[in-house]
Amino acid sequence: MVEANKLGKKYMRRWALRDVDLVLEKGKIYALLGPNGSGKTTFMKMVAGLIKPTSGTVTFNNGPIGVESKKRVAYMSTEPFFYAYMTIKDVGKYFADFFEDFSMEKYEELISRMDLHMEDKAKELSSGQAAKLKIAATMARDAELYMLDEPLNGIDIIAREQILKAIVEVAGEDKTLVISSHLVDELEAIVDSVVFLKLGSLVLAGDAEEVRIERGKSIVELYKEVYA
Amino acid sequence: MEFSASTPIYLQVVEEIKRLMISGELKPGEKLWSARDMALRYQINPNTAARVYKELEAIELCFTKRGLGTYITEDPGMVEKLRNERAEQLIQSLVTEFKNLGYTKEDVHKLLDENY
Amino acid sequence: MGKLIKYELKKQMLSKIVVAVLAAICEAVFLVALIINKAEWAGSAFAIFFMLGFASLFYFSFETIVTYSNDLKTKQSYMLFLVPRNMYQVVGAKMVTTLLQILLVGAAFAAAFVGNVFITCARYGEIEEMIEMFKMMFEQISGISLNLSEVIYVVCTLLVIWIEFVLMCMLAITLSTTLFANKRYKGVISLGIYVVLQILVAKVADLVTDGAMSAEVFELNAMAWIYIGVYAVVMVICFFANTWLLDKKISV
Repeated sequence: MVEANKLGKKYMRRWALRDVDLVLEKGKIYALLGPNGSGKTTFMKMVAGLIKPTSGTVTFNNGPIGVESKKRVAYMSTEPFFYAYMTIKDVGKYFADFFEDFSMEKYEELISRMDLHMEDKAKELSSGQAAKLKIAATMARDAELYMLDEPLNGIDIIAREQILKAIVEVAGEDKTLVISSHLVDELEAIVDSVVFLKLGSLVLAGDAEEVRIERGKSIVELYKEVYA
Repeated sequence: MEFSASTPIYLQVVEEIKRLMISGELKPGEKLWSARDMALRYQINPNTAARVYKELEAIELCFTKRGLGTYITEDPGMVEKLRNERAEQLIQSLVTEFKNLGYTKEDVHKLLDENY
Repeated sequence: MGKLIKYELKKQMLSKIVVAVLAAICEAVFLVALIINKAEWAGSAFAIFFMLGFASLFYFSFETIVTYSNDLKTKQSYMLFLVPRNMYQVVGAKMVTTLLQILLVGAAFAAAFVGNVFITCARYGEIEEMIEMFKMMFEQISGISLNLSEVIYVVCTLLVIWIEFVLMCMLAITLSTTLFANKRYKGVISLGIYVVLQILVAKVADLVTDGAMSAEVFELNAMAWIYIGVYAVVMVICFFANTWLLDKKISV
């Protein structure tokens, strides 16, 4: 579904992503792992169409990243990004206006599940609430590819379960989920495949279970090993 | 449910199902959740859930009625069998642990009399 | 593109409301002053109203540019660039919004202006005399004689140059977020390019007009239109340059 070929991105003097060959398949949940600066966000943004590559190519369903891919790709950034004047309801309307696959019912359901209210102003939310709002807006879409950048950051332990549930709910045969996180243990049970990025390069990628068996350790332990 | 890092997740869920059967929370012939619902319930990957069911069927703990769903086996002896297996597991590891502690069989007997 | 326009307007709604309220207050004072026959108040209210009109046109254009800057430089950018729209629609929507704002606000103030003149005349009688008086006043202030074709010319010139100005500013901002995103002094570079380009455009406009004049192909009136024509062409070039840069080189 997503194919990256020698994908690279350079900022000033630094290569944020370098020579990455990666294929993301339908129906799988990927953990995109690595510390800050490893290139996870850069990779996701390139698939989302927010950044153009410096070198190499990336395609979605064998086509270029553009208007068509944006219809089917849902990206959730680490930072809040809604317009300052918006209420939670306005955010929903915006998504409904631009994304055909957005379901207002699902959005309302997720919002109430997360203890938020339609009339709340986006800019007055606490960081935890803002994080939940982003997730609600993203998961209320029926996209083919979901890329969640650190979805569990800033979320309290109780709400994490709701979010993991929302993620599992969305998973399916024709959908792909890419989740980047520092909280590897939370993801361990959920993911099919793991991708380790280090300083912009692909270090390891494969089926989570196979990797566990081959290396004889959990993903968490492997993470410590790779980045020690 | 908390998962440990040492064994595959699907196996851990299989053990959990066995535990539920032993305790009676899951009764013989009872209908099991769909793979998707199991995934939601335990927050695991849906593919993992599918694997759980495959394993459960392989060890004859459940069966699928086409079009209707997956059900716990109606075999009346199964729960007993599971209990015995578990008991066997426990006693084996107990014996090993006590041997490591340096306790003899008599020591263990004494402990049992005092504590059971 | 309609939805994009809707949200561009919403983003900049607050200032419109503020101006509308201020204008309403001025108008109310003006009308009350006329009724209770305090000519000085009416005059002041009228003058303030007039200045408010000009000030808000400037402010709204400025706001469009600042909004665009935020759209590219802050995380708010995700709102615009994650949605399935091509860059022609995105930039186009901004242009239409700017144009709409200028036209509507301009028209509203002009209508209010004319309306107020007639009300004044009605209040004090002698409509024709009043119109003549206003015409003379206006001519004295601006040195232009008031007839329809010239009004159209002035309006068109203002519009074209205004939009060209806005588009050029946007281009400078786009350049600093795309081509120069990784350069250290991108702000200065963009500003520099902006200044150079504007000077260039003015020179080209002069050259073309002189060329046309010496070629003696066109009559004098057409000269003025050729001058704006150059700006109009530049406007179009800026539009496509902006679009292309955003499409190929975006980095938010």
